[in-house]
Amino acid sequence: MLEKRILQIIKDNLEIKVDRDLVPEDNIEDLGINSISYMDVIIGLEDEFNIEIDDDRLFFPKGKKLEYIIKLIMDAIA
Amino acid sequence: MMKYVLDESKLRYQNSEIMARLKYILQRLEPEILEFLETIPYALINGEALSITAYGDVGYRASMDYDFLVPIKHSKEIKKTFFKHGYVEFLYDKEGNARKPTRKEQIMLINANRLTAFEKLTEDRIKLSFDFNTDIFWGEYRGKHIDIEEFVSDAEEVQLHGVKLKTLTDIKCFIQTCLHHYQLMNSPFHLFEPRKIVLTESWFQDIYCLYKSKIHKKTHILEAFVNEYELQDEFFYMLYYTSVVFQDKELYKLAQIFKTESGTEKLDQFGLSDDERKTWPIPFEDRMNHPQLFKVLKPLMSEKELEKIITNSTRTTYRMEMSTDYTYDPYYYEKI
Repeated sequence: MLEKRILQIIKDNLEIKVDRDLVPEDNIEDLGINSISYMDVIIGLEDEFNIEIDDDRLFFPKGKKLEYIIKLIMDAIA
Repeated sequence: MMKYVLDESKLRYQNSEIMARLKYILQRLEPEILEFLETIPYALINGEALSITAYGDVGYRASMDYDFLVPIKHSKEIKKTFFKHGYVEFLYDKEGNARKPTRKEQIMLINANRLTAFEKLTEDRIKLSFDFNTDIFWGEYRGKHIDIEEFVSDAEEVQLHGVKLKTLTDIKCFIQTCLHHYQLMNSPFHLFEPRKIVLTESWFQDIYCLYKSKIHKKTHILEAFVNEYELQDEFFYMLYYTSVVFQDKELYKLAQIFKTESGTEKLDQFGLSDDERKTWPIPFEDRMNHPQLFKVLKPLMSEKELEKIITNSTRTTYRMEMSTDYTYDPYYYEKI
């Protein structure tokens, strides 16, 4: 359930239109997310879950999949 | 070797005003903050630390603040400690007004391997400013990662204006300074800065003085480091142009050790990543001390690139101003 919410928020913050549900296996950069738009994604997630990600985990995860962001948020919520 | 006529008026000399200002700033750093620093791995870099290592005394570098290198995992404790002692995180807009950085700006800075500067004004309106860097590379760097905790682990004690701090060893100071200056000389954002000339003798002088006073007999350590981290192009650029500016044949020979085909191409390019790299439209001697490089570069940049530079400029350029006539509100954080 939480995973679905996270994926929906990521989708809402994308700069490109994606006509399907996102899955954890999606590559971050394939969804048009770059180091600049990544910040909007993270801020969108922080606002939604009222969390603040630690500084050492805020670097743009080049070459990673959405499962990386899902874990980041789940860890921060926990 | 390419010929170059050194402009001695552009070199650094010891400046008593700078020394006095930096002494004032450091002597007002709270004892509790100094005690805290002893509990984390860190090294003082650039500014006065570099002045002592490269020139043998303080006051040679026109810095406005103190820069620290720390592992990012200590950022929370650093913020907590500085906030506790009345420092605030500030950015300045184009009108010079201080404001709290947005979350987006904080994340941008972290991705540029920095924390927001911690500042406060003294009762006589002198700005105390301390900057924290979390890496020796730039945000766009995608090469082998360096563990900063390990990098600063052998930092050496230094007495600065009567205050005991830690700074990098000679060889690490040289490595960090070369990479720092390479970043300044190749970053479109810095090259566009209207009030800062980064392609000038004084920046190469830092490298040259470090080399002549500390490094010329330890080049095997440098070579091992450059090869391990595959930084041949960056060090070729810095050593080659330093040897040209100072017409030093020994340094020129050292630079040749790091020469590659891509490194040779990059001598006439700028940009910190393959995506943003472009060829200079003017030769090196014309780029040096050019007062308006942004006019030379502007036609080469796309609209998106210019927008990125303007965004970054709003974020940091005005923070560098030393004047104290900006809007400063010590109760800013209580009001928001």
